[in-house]
Amino acid sequence: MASKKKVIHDPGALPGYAGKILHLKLSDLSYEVIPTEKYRKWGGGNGLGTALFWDYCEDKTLQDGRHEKNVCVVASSPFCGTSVPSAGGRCEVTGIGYGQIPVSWYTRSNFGGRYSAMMKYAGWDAVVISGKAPEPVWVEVTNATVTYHKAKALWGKGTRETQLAIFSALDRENKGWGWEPLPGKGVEYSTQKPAILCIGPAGENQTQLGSLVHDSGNGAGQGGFGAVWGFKNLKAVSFMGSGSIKIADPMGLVDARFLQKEIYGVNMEEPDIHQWGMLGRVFTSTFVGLPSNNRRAQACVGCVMGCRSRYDIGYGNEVSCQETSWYGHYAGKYAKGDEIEMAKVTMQVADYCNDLGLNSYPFEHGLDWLEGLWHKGILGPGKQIETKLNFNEIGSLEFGKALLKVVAHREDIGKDLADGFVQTAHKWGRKQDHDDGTLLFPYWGMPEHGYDPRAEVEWGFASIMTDRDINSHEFNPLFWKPTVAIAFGMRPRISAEEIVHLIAEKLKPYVKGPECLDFSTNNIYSDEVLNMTRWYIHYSRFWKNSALFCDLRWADLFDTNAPGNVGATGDSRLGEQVFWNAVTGENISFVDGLSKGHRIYVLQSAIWALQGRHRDHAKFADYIYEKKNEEGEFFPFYFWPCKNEKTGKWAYEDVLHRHLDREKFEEWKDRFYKAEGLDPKTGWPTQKTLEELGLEDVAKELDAHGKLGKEA
Amino acid sequence: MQTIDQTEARHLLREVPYAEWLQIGRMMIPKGIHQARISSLSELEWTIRPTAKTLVLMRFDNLEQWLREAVGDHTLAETVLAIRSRDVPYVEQSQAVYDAVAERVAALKEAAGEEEVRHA
Repeated sequence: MASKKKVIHDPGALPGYAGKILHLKLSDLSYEVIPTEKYRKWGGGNGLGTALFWDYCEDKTLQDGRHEKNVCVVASSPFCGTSVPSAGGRCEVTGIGYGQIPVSWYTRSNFGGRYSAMMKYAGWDAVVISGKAPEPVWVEVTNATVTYHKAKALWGKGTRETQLAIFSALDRENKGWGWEPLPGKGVEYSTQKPAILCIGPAGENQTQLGSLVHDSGNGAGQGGFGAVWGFKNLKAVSFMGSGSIKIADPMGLVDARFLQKEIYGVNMEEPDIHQWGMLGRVFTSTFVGLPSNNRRAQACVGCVMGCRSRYDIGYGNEVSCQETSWYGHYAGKYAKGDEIEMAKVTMQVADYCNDLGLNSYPFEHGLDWLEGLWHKGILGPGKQIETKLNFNEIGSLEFGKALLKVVAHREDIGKDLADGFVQTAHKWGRKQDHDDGTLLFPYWGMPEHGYDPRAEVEWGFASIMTDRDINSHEFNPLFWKPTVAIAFGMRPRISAEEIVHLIAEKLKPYVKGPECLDFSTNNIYSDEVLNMTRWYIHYSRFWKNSALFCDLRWADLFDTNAPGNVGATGDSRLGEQVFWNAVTGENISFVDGLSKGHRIYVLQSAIWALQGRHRDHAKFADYIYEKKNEEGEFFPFYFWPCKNEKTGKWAYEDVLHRHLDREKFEEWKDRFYKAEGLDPKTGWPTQKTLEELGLEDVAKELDAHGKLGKEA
Repeated sequence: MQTIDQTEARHLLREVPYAEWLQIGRMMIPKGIHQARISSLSELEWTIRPTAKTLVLMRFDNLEQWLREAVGDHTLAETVLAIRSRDVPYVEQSQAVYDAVAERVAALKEAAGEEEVRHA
């Protein structure tokens, strides 16, 4: 009888982390290894990337990310590559971007798939990219081996062909893809496919819409990081790893995951289609109706949902999310309502967008604006704005591809559009189109996400107090759920009174009570809404952008799958911090994570200050202040919890038909900056705040540049 | 039932000038609300057809006005007006509006001699 050998679990010195960071020094095609330990306190993702940027960027006054001294960081988190639910496959990109107005701020983007997991399996927590390569290169990382390759043959190719070429290049022994040699002794071959992040022509030509693309349909779109890589002559970085990730408390992780499944998991036999909450919901992120229901779920590493799809018809080559919708109505119109043709064209255009490495979001409102200019006789052959694009064919596959091509290659009107739609409006003498909301780009020259800041103020406030469309759905179900229920004539699954109390409990100690969610016009500038916004920014900065919980699953602030409709966020048995502690061996509370988020936000505020930001820059496009919500003209209602001032009763009320008040919002900003420890006059961090956060070196650098905020 | 001659049917099915296009909202969870501009009755029919992907929401008063003033289809405008007055949930009204539009467009297309298109 074999004796039972006791298994001793050794989590290593840095559980959850690979332990080292790769610094690619493009200018001389060298690299260095940075120990992760020094940066552990920043968590991962956004925090890790920001701390690395601070240390490795020699000139933080840059106002355009297309610069040799800009530093771009692609970072994982301790969760990447693990089985933490809906957190194992996200990857964060940070650095000075390209294309925002008035300045291309230090910003962030994020994508899913398997890239960050493979990066860690290869032994790296992040990759820091500095300098500029003397010629186009791509970088191969196989475990500890780092190799620069010339990318002349790849330059000009789409993201699919680029990845295929790299797969082939790594098949050194010509055994056929799927049997990749690994350096060193021991395991010599792997059937794993390398994970590649690359740019297409849109990035090479340094367009504002240039994305970083991984596999198919995983893209870091916002921020113009494709342009940053294009400037740096960096075509791709490939990771291939045979390692694993040590977990501090494997049983703690498994227990929390199973408990979460037990309480919040979806019953696939009888799914509750009227479920309210983030964790226990079911949805797919293909937005055009396809002529097939034969779908297999596709997921990022570690996800418990699988919102993406592989359909038997194969339209679009696995693209997903926003790019599968923006052209849909035009395609339908051109096909005269033929739904099959509409679906096919929409998905093919989405795939082309992916292949060119373009961020499709700005086209959602941008094409509507262009079409209007064409109908008005302003844009077209021989018109005030010359173009060879044939807008008579709008909606066709040919037009869709032609539009994307001219932007990606800076041709025709794409010469202007490649620098941004708002910038183009200014250049074309049509500033008024941005001011009056004809061009729906409310913050930093970026397109409205689909949630107008005049109605959904938390989305707008957080976007304008940071650096981009926040694209973080923490509170957003508060619009979706009641609005859909009321539209269907159903009693809202959770009453307004109950839901605001459920959420307010989750937001303590930031807020005092449920008034933080009173979206009545007379309350949106209150201290409680301000505190909710601070929680929102801190939560997204750490738990979402640094720990890398997926935005479409977390935060779970209420959930009808659980007793009492209590969401999983912050739960002592299965909340975010439980997973963090199980993986890393740390012992932080949920609120500790929020404090880390605050620290990250203050450090980013310091970078923005050095870039030249002043509080006066933080303002919406004029139409947000001057025009009542135009969505009221085509959209019937937008429900949100509101408290009746006289009766004190809560109800879901329509919050359309209003605009923001410029003076009240400016006064709100005074209080916001003060609460964050920033100087209300400038928005710059103060000495006291930086010292309290252990950021004395940051204070010194700000002081040296005359950008240290004054104490209030 | 009132008969429609080919000329009138073709007139009602025409694309109206851009300045008169109808704006409607499309809700796609979690992507958000986005507008679409409708240029003709046929386009209205397939755009507001209920699907599992999108909830189309519009103001019925705007639709009624558009039918009356831009398209010139007073018959359909009256039908929408009648549906608006029903005390039923929005989505039921929406379904009734869709049914009325679909029936009307089919009748107009038949009168105009147009072919049907494929539905998924």
